[in-house]
Order: sequence, then C-alpha cells, then structure tokens
Amino acid sequence: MTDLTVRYQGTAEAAITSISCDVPPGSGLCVTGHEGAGKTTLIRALVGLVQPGRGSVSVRGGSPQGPTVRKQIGYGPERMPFPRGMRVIDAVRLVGAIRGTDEDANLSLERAGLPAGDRRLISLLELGEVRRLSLACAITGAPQILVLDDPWEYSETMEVIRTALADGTAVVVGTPDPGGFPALLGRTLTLVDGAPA
Amino acid sequence: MMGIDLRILARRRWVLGATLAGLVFLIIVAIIAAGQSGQTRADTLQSNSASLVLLGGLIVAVGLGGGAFSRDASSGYLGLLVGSGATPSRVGAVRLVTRLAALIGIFAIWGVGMQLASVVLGRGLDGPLVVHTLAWVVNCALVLCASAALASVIGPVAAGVFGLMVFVSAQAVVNLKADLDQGAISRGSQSFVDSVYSILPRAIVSPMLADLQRRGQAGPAAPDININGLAVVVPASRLIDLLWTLLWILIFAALATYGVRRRQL
Repeated sequence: MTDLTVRYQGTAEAAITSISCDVPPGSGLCVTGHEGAGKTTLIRALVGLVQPGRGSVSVRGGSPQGPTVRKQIGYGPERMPFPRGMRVIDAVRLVGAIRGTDEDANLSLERAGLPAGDRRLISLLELGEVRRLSLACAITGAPQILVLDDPWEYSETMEVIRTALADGTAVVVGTPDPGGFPALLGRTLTLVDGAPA
Repeated sequence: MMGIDLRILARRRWVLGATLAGLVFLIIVAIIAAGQSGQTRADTLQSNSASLVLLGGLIVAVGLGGGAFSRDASSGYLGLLVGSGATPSRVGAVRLVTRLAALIGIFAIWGVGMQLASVVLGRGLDGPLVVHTLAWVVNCALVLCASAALASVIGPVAAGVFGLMVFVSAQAVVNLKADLDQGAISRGSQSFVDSVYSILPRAIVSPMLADLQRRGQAGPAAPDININGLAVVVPASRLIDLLWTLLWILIFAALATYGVRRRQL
C-alpha cells in the first residue's frame, strides 16, 4: 500500500488516509484500532472491494481490482458474510470453485476447527462457528496472501496463521482486540480515525 | 455458484410459502370448479389461474428481483464472492439468472398444479392455459429484471415498486393501443399512443385471456374496459410484442449486471 486514501462512497470524507506499508511474503501485519478506525476499509481495499481515492494497492505486482490477482488472496470477511439458507460445506466449496481449486473443502473445514462434511445450515451456527467458517473460506485453495477481518483467537486460527507464514504466505489480520495476533504476526499497524497512530 | 444460489433461494421461507400458497389456491379453485359444469367449470379454472399468475406471479417477481442484491451486499456475501476472485458482473449475472430460474420453477409448479386440476376436472390438459402461463413467465421476468436493475443501486422496496411500475406501464400501453385501434379514444391521441407503444415494453396478453375478457369472464386478470360506453377487448399479443418485451428484459438484465459493478460490495 502506498499513500492509500479511501473515501466513503459518494462523499469526500476519507475513511482511511495516507497509509503506506509493505507486507512481504512470509511476513504478517496486525491492523488494529477501535470500532470505526478504518480496519475493515483497509482490508477491503487490500482485496479490491473498494477503490483507492488516492494512492495505490499492489498485490504481488498487480492490482487487487483484477480477478486474477484476487484469486491469489484468501479473504475471510467479518461478521456473518453468508446467506442464512446456505450450508456450511457449500460456502467453502463455492469459494473453492471461484478460486478454481479442486482442493477438498473438508480439509479447510477441519483446519478451521469445523467438522468435515458439515452440512448444517449457516443460520444454525453460533457466531464463533461463523468466524471459523470465514477462516475456512479464506484458506481454501492455498492462497498466497491471507487477509482475515476480525478472526477470533482460536487455537486453530493461530495454527493456520503460523503455518501460512512458514509457507511464505503474507498474512494481514484486522482486529479490534489484538490479543496474541501481534506477537504471531510480528508487526502492528494501529489506526486512529483512519490514519496510522 | 448458480446451483448453490438456487438451493439457498429454495430454502427461503417466503419463496416456499408463495409456492405452496399458489398450490393451495389451485386446490380451492378445483374444488369450487368441481361443483360446476361445462363452460362455467372451464372459465372458473382458467380465470382463477390467470388471477394466480397475475397476483402471485407479480409478488414473486418483485420479491426475487427487488431482493436480488441489497441484503447479500450489506451482509458481505457478495464481497466474499468478489474478494475470492469472481467478477462483480459474473456475480450479478449469476444471481439474476438464478432468480429467473427460480421464477420459472415456481411457475412450472403452479402450471403443473393447473394442469392436474384440469385433468381431475375431466377437461384433460389445457393448452390455452399452458400458453397463458408461459406468457406470464415473460411478464414476470420483465418485472423481476426491472426490479433487479434498480436493486443493484437502491433499496429493495423502491426497486420492487419500480418493477411494478414497469409492468403497469407495459399493460397501460397495450390497453391504450387497443383503445385507439377500437375507436374508444380520439385519433388525436394517435401520435402519443403510437410513440409510447413503440418505446415501452408491452405486457404479453395470451389468446386465452383475450377470449375470457371478450366474454366478461376474466376476473381480476383482465377486468372489463369500458370507455365512453364502448367495450374494449385487449387482443392477444403478436410475436413482435413478445420479441420487443424480451429485448426489454435483456436491457434490464444488462443494467442490473452493470449496476453490480458500480455498487459497493
């Protein structure tokens, strides 16, 4: 990210302002800050879901606005990013199909701490299980960059990050509650009102 | 992506409820028609079936089209799909096609119910009713795509209202054209009527509905039109009307897909 500024859609107000940082392969970054500090906007810019108003984002030499680059990113969104009528295994299979991987969805589920072949409706999951499912979607297809928005600090989550870093994957985690993430990821970027503290 | 989307839709309570409500309505209609005989029995089944595809079909089309994007965009689901490598256009197109498939599926279930009712009533398969059902798949596809086109940029309720307004205007131009052609309104209106008729989408009218209306048996699906004491019958649509409305469906579908590209996901 170079001098990255993102404005709220349709306004001149900046959600994040002048953020520059580099996350090389095999290294991590923990983005932290209070609610509304700009963590999610930064992560969404990183995966190409919002366009920079100024500055740029480069992922492995390409723009994340392009689907080819996005397929290299494992994205685990915050909150409940699934339709309630969807089955757990279908969510992982769908992301795998979009990424063009034939990897067994059960592997991702198990690594995220969910049962293999989980056919429960997502509406029946507890919030913690939804966070695990978001993680399972993110790691499907062995992405080269792992971007997790508000993952909960489960032992499986930490193990996934540890393994990804060891495999040369760049890992970015956005969380309001850093816990053990900074120590694992090595670097922390604290945002206050959309700017580095 | 489409198969999973379709299964999600099929589990939505309102979709299941609307489909089942339509079938229950047809059972009630069949019971009422069983107490009648001859042409009255046929008219009861056909006019009530026409009311089902009009009212039920519009509700389903507005629900599917108006709800095509907003909830899943704000929950982050569409963002997950795009963030995983799908293009916004593909996500939009797949969701639209899925919803059209769901609409066709619901009409197919209702259509089978209508034909079963016709067979049980001793009338055999009802060809004109099949044609009418297909005509209404087109009308509802127009409403669905118009709603979805606006749903890609604004909220579901306003988008649904827009979809309905498109249908109202499509029906209005067809009615106006019939009024003009049958001399119910002044020739002074001809340039205006011809203009709007040439531009706007046209509601598809089946031969069955035209016949029911001519005999005053269509019910809510085609109420009597009486202008200055002259009864006007809206004629069945021609192939060119069908093609014109299909073109409008494609235009709205393209707008919906383009709108997703512009939308924050």
